[in-house]
Parts: sequence; C-alpha cells; structure tokens
Amino acid sequence: MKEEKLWDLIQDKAREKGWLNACLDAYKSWVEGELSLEDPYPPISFGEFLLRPDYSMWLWVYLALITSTLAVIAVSEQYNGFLIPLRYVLGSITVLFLPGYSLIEALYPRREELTPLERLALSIGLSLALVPLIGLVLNYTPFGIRLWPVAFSIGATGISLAFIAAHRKYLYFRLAREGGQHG
Amino acid sequence: MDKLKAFILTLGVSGTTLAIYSYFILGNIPLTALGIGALVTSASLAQTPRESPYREAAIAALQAYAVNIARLMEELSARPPSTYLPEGILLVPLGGSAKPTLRPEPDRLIWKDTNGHFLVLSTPSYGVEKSSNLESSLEYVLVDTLGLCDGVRVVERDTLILVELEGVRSLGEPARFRQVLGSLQAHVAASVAAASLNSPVTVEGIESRGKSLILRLARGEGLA
Repeated sequence: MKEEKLWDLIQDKAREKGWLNACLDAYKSWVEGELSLEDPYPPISFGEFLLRPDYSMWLWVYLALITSTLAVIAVSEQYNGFLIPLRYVLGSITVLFLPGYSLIEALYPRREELTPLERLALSIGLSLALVPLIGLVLNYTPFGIRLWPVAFSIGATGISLAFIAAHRKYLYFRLAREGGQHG
Repeated sequence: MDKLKAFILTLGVSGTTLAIYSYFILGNIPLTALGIGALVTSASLAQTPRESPYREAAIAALQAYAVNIARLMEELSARPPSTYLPEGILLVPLGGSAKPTLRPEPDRLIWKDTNGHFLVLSTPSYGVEKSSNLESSLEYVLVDTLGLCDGVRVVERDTLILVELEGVRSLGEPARFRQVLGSLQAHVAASVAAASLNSPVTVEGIESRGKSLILRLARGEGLA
C-alpha cells in the first residue's frame, strides 16, 4: 500500500487537472474506499474532538443553523418584512429536518450504516414524528404551544441529540485511534 | 435493586400517582390516560423476561467447554495464534506458532499441514449468517443471546478489525485457555467474526480497559 501526504497527492494531481478536479478526485477516491486517510495528530479527548472542525464540522453547522433560526425569528419579530422569507426557509429546516437528523446521527453514528439518501429520508420522517411529541409535552407545561417555547424546545432537543451523536461518533473514533496506535 | 427494577417501580408509582391526581383533583382525562399508560407499561416491563431462561445453562456449557478445551490444549502443547475459519472450525497450532495454509478435514482432531500440526475444534458461532453485518451479529450472539457483555462496537480498517466489548462478564476461564484463545468472549467474538465476514480470522491482540475488552482481529486469506 502506497502512503503519502494528502497535500502532496493533491498538489501532484492539481498540476495536471487543476485544483478543483484534484480535490474532487481525491474526495471521490475516499468515498469509494480507494483512498484511506489517516490523521497523524488525532484528537485525544472528547473536547478536542468537538473543537476540531475536521471531525465535528457537522455539529458546528447544526448549532449555527439552530442559532441562526432563533436569531432570525427574534429579529423578524421586531422588524417585520425583509427577513420573513429567510425565516420561512430556516424555520422549515429546523422543524422538518434538524430534529430527525440529530436523532438519526445518534442512532446510526457510523457513516457506512446508512446512505446519504436514507439519512435524508429518515431525518424528515423522524422530524415529523418528533416535533408533535415536543408539542404534546409543551401542551402540559405552563409555557403552552407558543412560538418561543416551541422554537427553544425544538432547538434544545436537537442540540442534546446532536451532542449524544457526537459522543457516540467519538467512541467509534477512539476505538479506531487506539487500534491505529497499536498497529 | 438493579437499574431496571428501580425504573419499573418509579414508572409504576409515577403512573399511579398521575392517574389518581389527574382524575380526582384535576379532572383531566388525557393526563389520566397518560398515567394509566405509564402504569400498563411498567406492568408489561415487569412481566417481560429480561433474558432467555436458558442463558445461564448456555454459559455453564460454555464454561465446561472452555475447561475441556484447556485440558486438551495443555496435553497437546497448543499455542497462539489460532485461526478461526468461516465453516465454524478453529485451528490451534501444536508446538509452534505457524499459520495453516490448507483447509482441514472437519472430522479430524489433529490436522497435519505443510506448516505443522494443528488441533481442529468446532467453534460456537450459533445463528450467524454468512457475510452479515459484523456488529449486528456480535451483538446478537454476545449481548442478546448469551449475555457475555453489555455492548459491542466494531471498527474495520482494511484487514484489521477492532472490536470493543463493553461490560464484560468475568467467567473464570482456565489459564491455558486464556493464554491460547484469550477470554471466552474473545473466542466467541472471533468465531462469530469469521462466520459473519466469511473469511478466516486470527486474534492479534487482546487489551483489557476497565470493564471493556478490546480485540484486534485480523482478516486472513482463504485456505486452499
């Protein structure tokens, strides 16, 4: 098996095909299993795993989407008008996709367990099942089913599930890292 | 009191309290239904057997199997590394550390290969389909059926397979068995891995971390 740095591999290919094609080729080879990547300095703790974007980028994008949705709701409540279309888009993603996505990530943390299409379909389906349950619980609390309690509950549920998913991913990563160290 | 019993009791008491309080004081029918639902769930959990009634018998049989094999290995000077074949056969080198190259005849106790002599044993890989998902197969056999551990995690890297067994139950295997085959959990896991992956498997290393066991299995080439 030939071993070389990813940067050198892409640089060599970029001379012939250009940077974009070289990066796309490398990504395709990785997805198809022809190329296997090994980090020489892997994270050594869960905290570091969370903070490294090369391992937990999905979690940061997830948190960014939830906070953006809450921010857009807050701003559009004050200044009715130009942010309403964006609120519709982010609100739809937050209600119809994100809760189910984090649940699917927590249940199936390994990439190879489900195809991206299966993940997308199950995320939408599970969101549709999860959000009414959140509403049912809220109905029996003093907060009731109102805009802010619903937005915060969906956000908090999704974020909690996303952290559980990140921890489960880390446990698999730790097992692979320890195997690599002894290998 | 174990965790499940505590959970059943908490659910039952909460359900009863919620149902009575909601019906007589709040006069709220949906909440009463929720309380009754919790009560029914706790009763169902209490009635459902947690494990197969034959699990302890199966474990006792496995322990006796380990003792018998340990005696045989002691007499025949068996040594690691052992090779697990997908047909449910285990080849243990006798007097050396060679790996087999030829497929053995299954009805022989000792098989002579070009690389040396091997002890031929049958492995406990019950109910595993060939070329099935390894983590699911290990979970089915080790956790659900035999209860030898609480959880399984698998990572595959080329020919190396890393298996983490969580909450491993101590079974007191004989020293010779541990020396040659590792623990019973490792032995069963390697048997299941060979059957599930449909290829020969050898145990490269076993590491204990608290109540977890990390197995390093190597996927080998098929025998001639």
